[in-house]
Amino acid sequence: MRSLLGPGVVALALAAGPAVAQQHRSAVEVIGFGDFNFFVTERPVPDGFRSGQLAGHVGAALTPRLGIFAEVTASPVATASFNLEIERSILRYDFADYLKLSAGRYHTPMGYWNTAFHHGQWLQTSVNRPEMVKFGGQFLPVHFVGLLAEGSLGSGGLAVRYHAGVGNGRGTNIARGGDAGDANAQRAWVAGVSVSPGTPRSLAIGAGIYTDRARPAVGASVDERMFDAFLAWTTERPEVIAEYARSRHEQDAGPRATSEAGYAQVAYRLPGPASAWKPYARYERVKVPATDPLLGTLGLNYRAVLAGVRYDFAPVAALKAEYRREKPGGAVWFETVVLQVSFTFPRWQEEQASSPEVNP
Amino acid sequence: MTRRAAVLATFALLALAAGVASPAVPPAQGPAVAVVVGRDVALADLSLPDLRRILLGDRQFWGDRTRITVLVPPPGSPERAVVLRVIFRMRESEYRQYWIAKIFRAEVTSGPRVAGADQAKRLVDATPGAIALIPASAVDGSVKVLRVNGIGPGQAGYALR
Repeated sequence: MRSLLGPGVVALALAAGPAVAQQHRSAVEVIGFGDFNFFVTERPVPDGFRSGQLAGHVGAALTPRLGIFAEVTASPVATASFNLEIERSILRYDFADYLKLSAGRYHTPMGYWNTAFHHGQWLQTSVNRPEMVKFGGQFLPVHFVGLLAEGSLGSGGLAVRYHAGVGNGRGTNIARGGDAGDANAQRAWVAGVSVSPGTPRSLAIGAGIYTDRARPAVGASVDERMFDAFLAWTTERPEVIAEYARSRHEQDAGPRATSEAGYAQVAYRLPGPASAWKPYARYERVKVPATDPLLGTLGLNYRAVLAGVRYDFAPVAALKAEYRREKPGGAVWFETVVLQVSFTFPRWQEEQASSPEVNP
Repeated sequence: MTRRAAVLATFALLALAAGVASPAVPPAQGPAVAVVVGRDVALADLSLPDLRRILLGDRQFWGDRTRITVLVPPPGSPERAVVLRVIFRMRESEYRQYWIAKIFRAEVTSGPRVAGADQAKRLVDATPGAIALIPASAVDGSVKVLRVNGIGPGQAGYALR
């Protein structure tokens, strides 16, 4: 039943969007994303066609200062048809550019990728996220449930953005945020700052910290202190994204270890008549010592080199072909070829203005 | 290796099809585009970087905390081409992708609104905090024209043309 419920609810939400938007055209934006994949791989996982993820996003301005954002996905899983997940659900009050307060479920604002691309595969250049921020991964807590303050300062050519938040941190399943309450009495804290020129899609350099006391389902509690730094130069010609995270894990009077992860991706949209094409390459690594009391037994070590090309064959759809050489866990390298078609819908266009629309 | 050969063949086929989806390049120069606001906005001049931040949704409030409502020229118009080239530095398809990503990241609840010159003037006059881009030739006494980098639309060196 749940397998039918997932895509059903997403489809219903997406279908309901235009109707709602017709009544309050200025206040509601509905965007959907989907993808479909073909894999040939040496890894011990099934080859062949794979349904991708269907993601739906709704954003609505309830008043000029109060807005809601929600993201829902339906993902194929081996044990059922699809799994429904509320990825983000945020209520935000904008006092001004320098202060916006919100509550809800977020993608943890650590680093760049986790908050830049979310679940729309069409938005990102490559087929998948880097391993360190993959959905369902354990190195970085992908989701965060709590409160967040954020804002931007500065004018003209330089903008400084900041955020700071408090939340539940990892759940007893450390891949998940504490959706139904914290696993212990120690809250997680996250904070970060980035600077960037005011011009679009230019250079952004940032750093952040995350602290929590994780209580995994098995074993003792572990103090976690993570530091992350990134550089993102997203001009298309070129696109350079690099990120590094270092996470210290320590048990009371017990083992302690530091794990590291990072990636560097370079892409370049070709000029002139070939501008629909965007070749890219990425190197990534996750390094977790066996003595890490939180992550050491999970087999998270990973290295990969990948290269691919993205072809935007329509304004709302892209075909990606990617080759990966990767070493997950053990000492063996595996090769994988992926073809992915990703898309967004409906074709977004600004709404026509009218008096009621610009005065929500 | 057969798989590696398949990869190379796939990439070669994709490369052969290059050039099919190339969007048109905006013209190098167009008509002067005026930046107009309501008379409630206490500004006479904006720097081009500040104007960019406003139109890109990176700055969403005026200094008095009034929310900025952005009105842009209709797709296909000469003014739109100027705005895309000078302000956004994007093609139409990149502009759409920019706003989809911005909305999806929850940085804004919605994108700009489209309005022709006459409608934009009416809305700017009636909507607190609104800013619009209209042909300089359509400017009249109902709206306040902002200088960009200290230069007005009729002066030499004006950026938005």
